[in-house]
Amino acid sequence: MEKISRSMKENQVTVQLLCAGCDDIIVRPMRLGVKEQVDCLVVYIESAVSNMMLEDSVIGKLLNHLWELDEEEIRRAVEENGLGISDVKELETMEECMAALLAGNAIFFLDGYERALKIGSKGYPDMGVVKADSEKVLRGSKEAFSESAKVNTALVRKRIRTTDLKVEELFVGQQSNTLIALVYMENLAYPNLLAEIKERIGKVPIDSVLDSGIVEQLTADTWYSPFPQFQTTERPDRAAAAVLEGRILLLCDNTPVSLLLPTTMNSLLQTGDDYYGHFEIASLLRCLRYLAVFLAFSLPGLYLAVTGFHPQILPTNLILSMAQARRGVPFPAMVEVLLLEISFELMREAGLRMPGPIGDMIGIVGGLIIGQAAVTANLISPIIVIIDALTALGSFSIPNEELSEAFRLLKYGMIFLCGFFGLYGFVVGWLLLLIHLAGLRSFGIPYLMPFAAVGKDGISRWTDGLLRAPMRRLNRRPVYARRDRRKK
Amino acid sequence: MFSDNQKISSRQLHTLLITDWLGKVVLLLPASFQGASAWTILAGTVAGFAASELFLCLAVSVADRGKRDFFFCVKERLCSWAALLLYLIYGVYFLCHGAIMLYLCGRIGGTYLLPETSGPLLIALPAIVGYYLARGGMEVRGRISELLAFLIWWAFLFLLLFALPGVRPHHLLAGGGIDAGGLMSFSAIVFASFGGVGALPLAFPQVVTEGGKQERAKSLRGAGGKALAMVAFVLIITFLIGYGLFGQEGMARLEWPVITVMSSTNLQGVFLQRWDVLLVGLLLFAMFLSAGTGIYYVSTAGETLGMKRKPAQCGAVALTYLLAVFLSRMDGQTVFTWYRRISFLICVPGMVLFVGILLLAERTRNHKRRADILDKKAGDFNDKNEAELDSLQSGIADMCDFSDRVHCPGTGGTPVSSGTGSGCEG
Repeated sequence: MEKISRSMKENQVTVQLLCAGCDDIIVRPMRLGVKEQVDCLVVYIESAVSNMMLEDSVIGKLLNHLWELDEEEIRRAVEENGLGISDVKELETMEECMAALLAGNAIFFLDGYERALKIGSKGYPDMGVVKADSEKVLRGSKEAFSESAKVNTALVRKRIRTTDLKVEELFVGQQSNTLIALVYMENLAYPNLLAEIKERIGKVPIDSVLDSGIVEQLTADTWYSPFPQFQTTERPDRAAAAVLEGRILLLCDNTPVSLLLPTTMNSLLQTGDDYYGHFEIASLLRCLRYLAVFLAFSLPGLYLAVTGFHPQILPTNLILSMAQARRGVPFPAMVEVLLLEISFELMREAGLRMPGPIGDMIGIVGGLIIGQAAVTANLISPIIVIIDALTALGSFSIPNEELSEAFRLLKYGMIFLCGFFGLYGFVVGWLLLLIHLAGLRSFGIPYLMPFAAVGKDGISRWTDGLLRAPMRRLNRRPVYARRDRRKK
Repeated sequence: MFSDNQKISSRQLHTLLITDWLGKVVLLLPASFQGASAWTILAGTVAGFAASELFLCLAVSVADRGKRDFFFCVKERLCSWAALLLYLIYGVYFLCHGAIMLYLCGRIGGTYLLPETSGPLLIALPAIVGYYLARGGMEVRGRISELLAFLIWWAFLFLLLFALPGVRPHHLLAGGGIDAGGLMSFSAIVFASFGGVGALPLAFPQVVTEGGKQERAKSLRGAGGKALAMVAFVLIITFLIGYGLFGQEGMARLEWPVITVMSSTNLQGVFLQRWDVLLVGLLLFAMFLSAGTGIYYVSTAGETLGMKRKPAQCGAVALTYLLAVFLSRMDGQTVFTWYRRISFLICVPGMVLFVGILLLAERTRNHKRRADILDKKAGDFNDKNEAELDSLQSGIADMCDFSDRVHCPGTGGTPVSSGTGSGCEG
């Protein structure tokens, strides 16, 4: 740890050496003061710090003020922060200076003063606070997280105005030094959970963390599972609600997607506005989401099982109309289902990558024109189109994208099992899925809580699981909160 | 961090037992007793259930005194050979249980769902599920059962009740009253079917309960008792509906009465046509889980006998699968005869015997301990009295010493050493 020198010249040489070849970093020496002038040095990243000459910037005001003082007064002003700059911090080593500089701050060195000042300015350019895009709600806040962890912590603090809300900052990534903020309620979160999270993050062996998804993958309990073991959200109100349940919010710089941990499947199937509306409607919607999981995972398989192996379950008229619809189709039902599912995945991927209007066009071209043409050409039967559309609807109705993707992936296994073994395969598929889910844990919390491993305290499946109890009956915090603080 | 691995709650134990017993009991029992009147079967079920409850209480009282691994408890109370023998019985019981469940899955699947698929393949699928379940350990088994047991139980009951409109009451009343011989033999079969109760001490150390020893015993008894009652209730309903639909003779001819009950269900205005397929699906859920239990305990027995976890699990699944495939080559009646002989006539009585011996050993040990304590107390009492006597005598001696220093009036002797309290020589 190289200490900051009292000599301005030495500091300038060190900074220039460290920043050699970085043309975007401005090293600006200057002399301030009225009578006896003193050497100063301001170092900053060009686009991350406001123009110094602007009157309304912090650095501009600072320099303008120092310009009018004597040498002694300058030193005193700097030492005592006589200028009353809010975001200022004294730094003692060159490493700290470089970290602060690369975080988008300006660094101010003064000759004869063996410390430097970190002066916060506008920081790196970002999109600012925008409207939530992927987690839309009919009722409730429309704000979404921005790409700056600092702004995001402020958005949470805006909603939880207590000093029990703690924010701890860590830096991850040997090269990227990405800022990660852990936000939690000190009186609700488990201290050992916090310690575990910090330990896991500290062990992340990686050069750069460009998104919270990388942290997620590197710290998950079961790395091979397709199921998300962290909940993602881009909504500050949802994050605040989770923090108030005793969960820990992980904000990663440069990403608007925050992580909530630990998590359960039940949390992943809830939405922000579940708690803003009436409990009857919220309960109905929750049941619908569980139905959506069933459809997304097993509807094509169930169709194959019933039509291929056990048509006797269905009424005769229905079987006849299905047989009629399939007449002339050259492929077996399983191939038909797979063809359509894969086409649908392709359309989805193409629609995602294309700019907005073109993406919409792909939906129309793929869904309507190609689908209709394929049915007319007798390549697929109309019933398969209905089944696939229902499966897609189920998949889109799952509020968490990662969870939806996991079921989309596993659906293919179910298609094969049911295609070969009918209902027998259906039972096998569901049991394998449930066994996998029962074995999953997110930081020690069983994934299927509160449906399995439910304790006597905390929420139950009937109060805040499959159904949502009236607000006045929701008087307990879930299992994430400390045992002694579960009662509200 | 929060969930303690390999521990379950008493509620999970309750659900585990439901899934373990439901499939086996409703499939095997109606088929295993044919020709008796409905009342005999009903009374036999109740008697068998009561005997199982009693056995459960004894098993809990045997297991509850030691929260450590049951193997070490038995070893401590009896000897290592006895513990090994008991674990061998458990191993054989669960091997038979696992194999018969796999065999039944294959048989039911082959008969009602996939007639053209090969038997070993149909047995392999539940074996894979069972292995995956056993690999997850007690905790995963507990969670899965907690998730599915009530769902299966209620759905099963509803499906059975759908068949209620076809019941003819005169069928139930036909066939006479209760036959004592039939009652005895049927209650013995019901008791043997719930013989897994005797293996519960294996699971008890992994059950976490709140409160002290008394509460723990109560909680374990409650979990087992409720599971027994729920399965017995379904069994009785199955019998009654089966008899009401087909009568005594009809039931005697059916191989799987519970499935036939559902296939004859025809509800007006309902979308689905065949309910037996759904019932078979539900049964398969319970039976796959039950097969997992067998594989899990075979692997646990292997581990107790010194094998490592992974080889024990692989070995258990391979052994169970091979046995099931072997059984699938045989005639159904022969399979059930052999199963009953090994499981009902050897393993379950063996477990009953061991529970009895353990109870006796425990009681003897308690008597001995109590006698030791009494002896010790008596010894302490004597020592104390002697000490008091000594101190009294020395006090008197001191007094004598103090008064004339020559004569000791209490004893008539001379003081040996004054003031030391060691008394006077007689």
